[in-house]
Amino acid sequence: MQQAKVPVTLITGYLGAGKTTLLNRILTEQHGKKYAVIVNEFGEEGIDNDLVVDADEEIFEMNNGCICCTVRGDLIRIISTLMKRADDFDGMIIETTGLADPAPVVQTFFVDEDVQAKVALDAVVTVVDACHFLDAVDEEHELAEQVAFADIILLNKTDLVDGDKLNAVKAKISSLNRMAKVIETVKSQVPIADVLDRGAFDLSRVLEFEPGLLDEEDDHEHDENIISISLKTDNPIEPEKFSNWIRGFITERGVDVLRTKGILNLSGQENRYVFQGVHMVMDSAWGAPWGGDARSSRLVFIGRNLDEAELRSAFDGCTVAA
Amino acid sequence: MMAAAGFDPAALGLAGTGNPDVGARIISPSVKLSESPAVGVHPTFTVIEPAEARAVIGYGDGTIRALGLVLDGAQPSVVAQVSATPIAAAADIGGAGVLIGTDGGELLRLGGSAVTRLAETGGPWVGEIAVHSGKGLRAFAAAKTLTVLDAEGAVVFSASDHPSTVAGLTFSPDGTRIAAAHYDGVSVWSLTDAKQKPVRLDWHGSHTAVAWSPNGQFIVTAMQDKEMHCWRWKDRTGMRMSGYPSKIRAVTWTADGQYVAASGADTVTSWDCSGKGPSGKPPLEFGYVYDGVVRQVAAHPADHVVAGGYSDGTVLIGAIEQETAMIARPASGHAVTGLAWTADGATLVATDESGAVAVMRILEPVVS
Repeated sequence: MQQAKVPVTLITGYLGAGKTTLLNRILTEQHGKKYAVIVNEFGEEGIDNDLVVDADEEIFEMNNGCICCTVRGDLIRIISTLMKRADDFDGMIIETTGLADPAPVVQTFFVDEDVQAKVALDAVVTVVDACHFLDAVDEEHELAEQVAFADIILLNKTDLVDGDKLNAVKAKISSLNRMAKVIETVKSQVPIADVLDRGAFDLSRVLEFEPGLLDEEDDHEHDENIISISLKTDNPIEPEKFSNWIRGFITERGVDVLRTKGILNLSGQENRYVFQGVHMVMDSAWGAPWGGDARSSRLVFIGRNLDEAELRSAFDGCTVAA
Repeated sequence: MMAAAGFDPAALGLAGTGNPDVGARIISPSVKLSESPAVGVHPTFTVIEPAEARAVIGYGDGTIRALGLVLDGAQPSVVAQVSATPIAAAADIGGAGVLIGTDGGELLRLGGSAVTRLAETGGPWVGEIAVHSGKGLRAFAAAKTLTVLDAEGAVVFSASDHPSTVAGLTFSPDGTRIAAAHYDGVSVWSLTDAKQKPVRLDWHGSHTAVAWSPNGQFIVTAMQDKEMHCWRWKDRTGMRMSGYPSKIRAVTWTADGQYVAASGADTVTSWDCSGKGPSGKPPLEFGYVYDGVVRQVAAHPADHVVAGGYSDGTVLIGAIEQETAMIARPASGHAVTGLAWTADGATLVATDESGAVAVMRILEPVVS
């Protein structure tokens, strides 16, 4: 029998944004549940948990023909060992340093078979400091990447900014990542159910999770900064055309594409086809049947050097009518 | 792991009086199997301790259990409890005692049922251990640091100049060098000339295990990238062995160093390293199992024979050159986590993820 995989929550965010505060809030409020906490460095603020493991951030490139495919060797060792312990964990929480690139952490869960067999990445939660975000985001590329990778963004310290600034921060976040759910908080106070057990990488839950997927598109020009682009078409997709295009695109541009999600209306199919990717690592499955729902295909790319017009035309070229 | 000197098969009870085979059943004309039931805890290491004629198994709950090598179906008994998870082990010098590394940063020694502490790191996990009985040396690695102790426990060598955490350790057969696997290759250190710089064997990627051939000619690594890399020690020529469908967790050399076998495929693959090495020769294969891949391999201490442990719990013993195998333990449904031969090659011990321990007696030679 297949055992349920232990969910892993990744908490990222810049220095001082409120990551440890969120972590401790989860650990105190989820009293009675057992978590393994993996941190890159012990901060000034203590962590209120029995099992805290210190990780050393060893980023390993994989020789699998994908130049952007990296994993965290330390996490593979730590998670494999933790899963041999007799403890039944309700979950694991990984808190990264402010400077960490989330990609190797996320890819570890899709590339290493030992990790994949026992645990599942639940969601990337990025804590953003509303005060300092706009000043820092253009200087520190890790910050933009952390936002771009997020499934949930905790827009923290909102009590310290006025309405105009808050709106500017929200607009910038939305331009970087339109898939993520943004939650405004003070002192990382958030209902725990909003950050745990989200199943953000669970293909069967892609639909319920994607508020941004349903938005109308904005106009973006070619941009070397990180942007997110969403595409939609009502014409059914020709599976072969789409498969050829997306494979080629991801192979060629996987370095620039941080995250991809899609729900496709494939011609002649009763069920939705859902997929997601992190750089060149892709995962796909059949989703719920369309039934009487209006059939349409939606696609979101988050990355840099993306040309919206080019992507739109390529996507439209995958429809049956094209 | 080095073969222990002074090993006496009679000490295993194989030639004893009474009937030690009370719990055993015949699996094939050549193998008798005795199996202890699952304990529900994941084994983390499986070693044979010749001096005590027992298998010593570490578990994820910190228990260290031991099982005599008679075929009576007995449950392994808890001989010690350690405070952290035991993650690495090897039989100590002369096959007496077991060295254990933990994720609490300790190097421990089990002697009988007594545990003593030989070293502590103050944090980093002791994830790799190697022993050279001939020279009386013990080596352990924690994070980027490799430390070699003598039989008295004094530090005789230490090196921290590795690009990442050391993920594999192996002594040269003569015990004058030690090789450490890490990201982007292997560092080979001289133990006779401390001033010598390490020889770096470079190959891009994460190397997760290393084994020096018993004839001294080759160093092989397993990689995170589902491949192996092999260097000829004489001229440092590197060879790549790829095409594996899954991660290679174990590599093993036959006693004469002619073949290196690996896990990672749906069969046990063995590469012929005679002559100039394995380049251009396809691997020899045995042991296709319907729904399992090979997780563990252990070469017989004398013959061109390898035991393979599969993801479905099956254990096969195969003759490399004949490319044939026999079942030594049927599928249990739980992946094999460890395999170890007694030094006389008469008994094989396997553990699986359920915590079950199988003791297999070889009744007639696998290769005639």
